[in-house]
Amino acid sequence: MPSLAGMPAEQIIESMMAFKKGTRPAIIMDRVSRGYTDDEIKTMAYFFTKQPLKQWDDTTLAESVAAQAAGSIGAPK
Amino acid sequence: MSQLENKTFDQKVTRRDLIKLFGASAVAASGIFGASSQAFAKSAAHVVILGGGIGGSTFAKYLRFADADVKITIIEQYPEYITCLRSNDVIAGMHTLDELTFNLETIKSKYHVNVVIDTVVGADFNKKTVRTAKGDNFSYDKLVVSPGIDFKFEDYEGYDAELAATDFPHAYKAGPQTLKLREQMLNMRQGGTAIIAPPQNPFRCPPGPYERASFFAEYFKKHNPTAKLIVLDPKERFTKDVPFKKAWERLYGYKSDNALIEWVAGSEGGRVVRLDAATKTVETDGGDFKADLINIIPNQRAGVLAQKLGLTNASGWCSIDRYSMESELHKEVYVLGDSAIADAMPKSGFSANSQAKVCAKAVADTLKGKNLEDPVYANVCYSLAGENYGVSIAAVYEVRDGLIQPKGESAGVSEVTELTAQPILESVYQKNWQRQFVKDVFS
Amino acid sequence: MKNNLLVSTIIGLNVFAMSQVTHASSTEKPQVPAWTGAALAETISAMPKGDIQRGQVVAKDMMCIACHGEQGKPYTMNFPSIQGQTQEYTMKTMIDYREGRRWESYKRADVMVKIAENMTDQQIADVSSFYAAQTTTAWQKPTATYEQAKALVTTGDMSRMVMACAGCHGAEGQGNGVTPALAGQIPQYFVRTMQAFHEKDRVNDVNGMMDQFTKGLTPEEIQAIADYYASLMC
Repeated sequence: MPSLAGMPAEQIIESMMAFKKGTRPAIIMDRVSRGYTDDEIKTMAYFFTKQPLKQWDDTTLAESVAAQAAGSIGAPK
Repeated sequence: MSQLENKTFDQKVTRRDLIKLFGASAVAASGIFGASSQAFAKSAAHVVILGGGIGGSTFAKYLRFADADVKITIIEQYPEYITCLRSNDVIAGMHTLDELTFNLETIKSKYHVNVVIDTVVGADFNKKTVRTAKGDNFSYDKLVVSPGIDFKFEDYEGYDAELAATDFPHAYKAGPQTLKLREQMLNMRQGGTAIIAPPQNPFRCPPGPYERASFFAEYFKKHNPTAKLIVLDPKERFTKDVPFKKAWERLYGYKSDNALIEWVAGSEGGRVVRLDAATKTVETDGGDFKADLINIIPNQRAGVLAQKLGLTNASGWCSIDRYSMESELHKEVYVLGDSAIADAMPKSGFSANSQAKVCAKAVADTLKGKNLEDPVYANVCYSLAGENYGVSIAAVYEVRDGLIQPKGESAGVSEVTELTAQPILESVYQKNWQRQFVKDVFS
Repeated sequence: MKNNLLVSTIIGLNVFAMSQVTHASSTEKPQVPAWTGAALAETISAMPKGDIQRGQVVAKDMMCIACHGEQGKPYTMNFPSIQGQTQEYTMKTMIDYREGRRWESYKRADVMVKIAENMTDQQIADVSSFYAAQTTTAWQKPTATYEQAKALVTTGDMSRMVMACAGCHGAEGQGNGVTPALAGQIPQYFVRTMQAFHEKDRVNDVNGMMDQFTKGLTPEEIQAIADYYASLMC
């Protein structure tokens, strides 16, 4: 899934609006986006844009379990 | 790309706003919100959580985000927790139980949560204490109960917990029964008949029985093509039935002469009333069905602990205040997840996670003497109708007219389209979601 | 519900049971031989001829447009621009996803792997020709490091064994056959791709050239080159 951390706020807002209007094809975000007001979407966008950019912060399920056991998931790299 | 003005970037957006807004989903735990490492103040309130599953674990973590000083204790019966979520994949051979097994070590160390492995035997709501099997007493300022579900075997003549633990696994709590059911599916004779009997509403994971039915059909298609699966349902409709049935048509010849899967509605005699274990026969309103494999998923009620503590009402479930998840029967006791009556929200892991976040904020605000804010909850359930065929349901929720109801135009199931990629991508999203979700809950 | 001994015993059985069911496993990275120049050239030339109109239909049906945009310009920073990408390179990419060369530790690429596995050679050729026919536009305005990056891109730095990017990717970043166009590429995607090459996480190029020719670059230079290409159009 695309990471939102560090994404420019306008990209998040425009994507959410496009999902809401149905102009961007979606799998799940069509319905999720319709649950939020424009103001709420902006609030989320400003939050995510301020998070440190992370790319590929993804793991296999087994890795996730192993990392969880080691207490290392979610820690800053 | 956008005409957004820069000044808006200066708006202060905090994690608290986010918890409030999302209720759930992928608010990743970034370091900047890590818990304060300062020692708990002596006067700090004590929040005790009973049950370290999805609701309890999420609650502990997000309460720590909301309050660096509060003292948090989780009392959990088992040292490890197997998620029911995706346990159908174990039946299908896509996951092992190990991959679905989690513990509270990260929650304990990273969020400064006291984890006690013990069984709660009682509570005194006046003195605000809980008692455990080992004889320890814990006093609390707020008590949070996230006890899951219990089965109503009494609704089926001839079926009981002992049969479920041996030859007739319900496999609706992940564990040995899950593996047993897989073994039965693999070993079923060529051309045999399997029965899956879903429960009456409400029950945990509403799409679960139908996803399981799909996996049986997919397995039969590959390895036992003359076998048949019959779904004996007490209901007239089920969640995501439109996209599920479309998938069954596309993949398993549903409604054709060679259908691998048949679905019988309650009005057509789908309701199972009796099991004859000796002859492997189930009796329904419409007659007897003999089968090689019988998987009755029993009707349900709130978890045993919720019953024992007197948190359930006549319906067998726990009524709660929609703004905080506080029990309507006992003040300062909160109920999360499957046991709670959450109106339009389904009993899903996602819902429990979302409710836990709302509740964490409500508890933190209450402890600080603040007013409660209007919550936003969310739920997304992805199911597989085949290994590479996903279907989903999603909604964002708010409290309206005293009930938790879909917000905006959000509620909906996957649209049935002719796009080749859609069900494939749904299945990929499901896997991605699961990986992120368990991180959000247990890490 | 938890008798751990029982659980592990049954899991043991389960592993045996699973070995009897051969799933076309989607979780293990297949072993695929690395490309040689000759093998790649042969594979690409064996692909069917693409049709732009049909390609537009494929782009909708396979939902390429959901992330990469109607004309190949993505909605957000996460996805590469494929607008105006060479037909050969898009075909190569899809073949790499389908055959398992381009998994980048699978879970990062599973959307593309699954999509590619469900496409025929003809569909791949069609959709690649559709995106190749689109005009490349810039993703962002030039930044302060534009000139510095342009010098590196144009002449390289032989003292560090850094090759001139333009030598293969074209003076305007327009690409050439199986060598991808870089003009208008998303900088975040560009940077993580370079990291993937350097960490040998991505090894679907011929003879590991991308790692060899660029490992002398500093992270700041890679960012500057990413911003430079993002500002180009052709």
